[in-house]
Amino acid sequence: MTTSRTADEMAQDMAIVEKNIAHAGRPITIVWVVLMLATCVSWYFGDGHGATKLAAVLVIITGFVKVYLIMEHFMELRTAPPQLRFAFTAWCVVIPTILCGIYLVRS
Amino acid sequence: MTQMQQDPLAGLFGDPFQGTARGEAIRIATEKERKPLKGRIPGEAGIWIFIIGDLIAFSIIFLVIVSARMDEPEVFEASRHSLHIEFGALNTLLLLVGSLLVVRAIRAMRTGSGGAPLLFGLTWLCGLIFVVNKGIEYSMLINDGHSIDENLFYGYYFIGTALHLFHLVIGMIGMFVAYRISKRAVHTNREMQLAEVFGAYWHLVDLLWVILFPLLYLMRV
Repeated sequence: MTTSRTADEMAQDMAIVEKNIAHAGRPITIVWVVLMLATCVSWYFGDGHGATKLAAVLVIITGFVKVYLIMEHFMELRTAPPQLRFAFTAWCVVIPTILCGIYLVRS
Repeated sequence: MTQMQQDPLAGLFGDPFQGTARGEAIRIATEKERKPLKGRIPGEAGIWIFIIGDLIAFSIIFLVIVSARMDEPEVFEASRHSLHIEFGALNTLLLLVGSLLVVRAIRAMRTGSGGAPLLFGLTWLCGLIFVVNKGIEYSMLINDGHSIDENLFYGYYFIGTALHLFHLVIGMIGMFVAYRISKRAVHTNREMQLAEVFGAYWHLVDLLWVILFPLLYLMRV
C-alpha cells in the first residue's frame, strides 16, 4: 500500500493545471479589472455618496464579492475539491450577512 | 486457514488476507485512497488548513470592528475621517497588482515560458512599497497626535493593520523563496507545490486587506 498518488490522480491533476493555465490568460486580466472597478465603486460609496445605510451595506458586499473573485480565480478554488470550494464560498456569504445584520439591526 | 486451503499459493503470489476481516479492512482503506479527487488542491492541504484558521481569526476581528462601531458611531465616524484614505487605496492597488503578478508567475513556471523570477520579484516590490506606504501612513497619524489608546477605533485600526502588515512581511519572504525557486531551470514537483503555497498565501494577504480596508476606511455610520 502506498501513500503517494496514483497515476490516474496525477493525470487528473495535470489536466486541471492545464485548464488553469488556459484560464489564466485573458480572463484573469478581466477579473483583475473587475476587482479594480469594484474598489473604485466602494471608494465612491465610502466617500459620502448615496444613502448612508445603503452605502455601508454596499461597501461590505462589494468587499466580499471581491474576496470571492480572488478565491475563485486567483487561488484556483474554481478547480479545487468541492468541499474546500464550498467552505470558502460559505465564508463569503455568512460573514458579510452577519456584518450587515449587526450594522442594520443596531443602527 | 480456510483461505490457504482454497488456494495454497495465495499467500505467495496473491493477497494473503483476501476474504478475511483484515483483508476487508485493507481493501476499504485502499479503496478510500484510490477514490479519485474531484478537484485539485492548489499547493498542498496544509496551507488551506492554515488559511481557514486565519480567516476565522480575522472574521472575529471584522465582527468586533463592526460591533464596536455601532457602540460608538460618532467616535468611529470622526476617527475614520482622520485616516488618510489615499494610502489605504494605494495599498489595495499594490496588493491586487501583486496578486495578478503571482498568478502570472505561477503560470509561467508551469508552462516553462520564463519570466517567473521577474514576476515574483515585482510582487515582492509591491510588498515593499506597501510596507513603506504603511510606515508613512503610521507616522503621519502619529504626527497628527493619534495613538493606539486614543479610542476604540484607533485601537482596532492599529491592531488590525499591524497584524495584516505582519502577514504581508511573511508573504514577502514567501515571494523571495518563490523567486529563488523559479530562477532554477528545472523545478521538482515539490518546489512547484511550494511556489503555489506562497502564491495562495499572498492572495490571503490580499483578500484580508480587501475586507479590512472598507471596514476601517470606507464604512459609514
